[in-house]
Amino acid sequence: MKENIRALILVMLWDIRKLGRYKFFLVMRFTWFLVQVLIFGLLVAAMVSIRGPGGLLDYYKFYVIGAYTAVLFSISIMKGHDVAEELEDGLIDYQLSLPIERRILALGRALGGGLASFTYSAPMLFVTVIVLKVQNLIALSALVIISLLLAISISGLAVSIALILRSGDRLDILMGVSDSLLVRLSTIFYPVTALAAVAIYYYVAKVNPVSHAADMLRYVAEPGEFSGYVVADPLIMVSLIAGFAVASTVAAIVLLDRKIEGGYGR
Amino acid sequence: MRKVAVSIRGFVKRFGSVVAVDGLNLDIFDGEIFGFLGPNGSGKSTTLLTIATVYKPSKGDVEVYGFSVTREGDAVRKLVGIAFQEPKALWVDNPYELLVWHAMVVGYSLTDARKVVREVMEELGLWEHRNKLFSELSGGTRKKVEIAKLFIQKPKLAIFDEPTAQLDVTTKHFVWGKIRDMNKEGSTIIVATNDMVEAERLSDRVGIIYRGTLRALGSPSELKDMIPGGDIIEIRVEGFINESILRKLGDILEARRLDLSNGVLKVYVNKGEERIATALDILTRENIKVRSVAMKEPSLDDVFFYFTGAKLEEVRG
Repeated sequence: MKENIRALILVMLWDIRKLGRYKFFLVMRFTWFLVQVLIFGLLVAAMVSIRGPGGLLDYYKFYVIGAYTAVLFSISIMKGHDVAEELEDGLIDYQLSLPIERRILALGRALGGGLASFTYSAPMLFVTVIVLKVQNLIALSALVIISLLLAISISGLAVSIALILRSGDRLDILMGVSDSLLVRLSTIFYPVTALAAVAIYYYVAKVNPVSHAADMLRYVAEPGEFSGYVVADPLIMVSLIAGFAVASTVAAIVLLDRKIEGGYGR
Repeated sequence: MRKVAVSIRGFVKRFGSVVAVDGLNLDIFDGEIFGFLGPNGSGKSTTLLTIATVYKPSKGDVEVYGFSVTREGDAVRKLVGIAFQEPKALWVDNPYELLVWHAMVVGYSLTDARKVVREVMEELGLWEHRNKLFSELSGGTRKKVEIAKLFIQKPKLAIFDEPTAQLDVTTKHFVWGKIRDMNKEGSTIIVATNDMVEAERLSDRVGIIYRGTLRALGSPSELKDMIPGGDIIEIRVEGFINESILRKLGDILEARRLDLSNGVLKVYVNKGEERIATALDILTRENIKVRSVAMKEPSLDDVFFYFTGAKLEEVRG
């Protein structure tokens, strides 16, 4: 047990230790986020007026959390590209040969990927917290936990897809499709009440785990403002987010443990 | 009876329609240095990666110290370490951090990991490169980082896939010495190579693999002796050797061939070292004055050619 925990931490470190190497990527993402929040968000909020069960929606705040969720999603999905690159460079072969149980290796990669993605997105979360003026310690902790769960879910999913596809090009295409389905067909930028007008869109958004993550973040940050605009009951949202994290991590474990062997391009 | 470290039975590995290894049976013994000789694409790396549990057999099984790579992979991985043919690192890695991470994964504490990594890096002349990005390193330096992983790990079964490719001569000899040291300290070693000198210098036994099948197996000297008339005894003589003396020499020495040209007699035999004295005795009795004697053994290249019908230089990728 102790040996496995040690191995798990070391595998997680594989992703985390590379944090400092992607400074340019981080600066780019952070700049994009600032532009979204400080320019685009304000412009869109000035143009949009949504009235829901709780009165007129503060769309700017809604948008800021949506932008944060979108950036966390795209950073987490980058883990798939990391794994595809590692497959191409034979790094997965190297890891498969190490004295680590396969399920520990998979769990460590999913958790490490999630933790690294969350850490990358931390400056954006900080900006979000400042903009929304979240001061409650419990709310802050909940924001961190939900973000972490979403990052682990998406990283696990991305790692699983990369391991199945074993091709950087195919991965790019599928990630583009995933981005369209999971981000666009969600409540990241559009409140569920507004989506009700388009039936298919509405029902996809209702079951989309990204919608649940974005709305749960909103509910935690400002329950008074957003409680009338969430996709489901908070308990259901938390259960779905946690379930998604467990499911995608288990998928990565099963793939690495039972299906995957090395040799990119074979 | 020798303890078996690796037992390979009916091993087949297919990648789609390509058969990389076709029905390999092989035992590698505990404590030996085993040389896997074959050109690129012969199936040696596929076999090694299966021993290291990176690949799974399509058919048959491979056991490492009694543990099946298919059913008991976790147990196998605790005993095996591999230095890959192509160094494994991301371009953003730096050698020191990568090796410290590797050392900790194979069981060192952080303090011990830093210590052993520094020692090995200094030995291999890597210390000055410790903080560079992997993408900034030369091919030879990257290869040294890859080999360093096993010198740090010292596994029970150490697999080196072409360990000295891209290395300069001095480093090559140093690495061979380190591999021998690892072996003396208790590691069983498998070295895959297409370098004849490396196979001969390092290996207790050599397996020649070609197009996915094992063509020959034995110690380098045993393999050489398998070539009929592989040794050449070269005797420089004074005076005339007639036909009957040549026939007598051929019969007694069991020579495959005799050539006499410009006072140099070439006798093609097996186990030439055991036959030199007899040859000299016959010539002395026949009053033939011998000026010099030399013996030339076949190279492993000749052995490879004999068993595969192909020159290693020709099939090397």
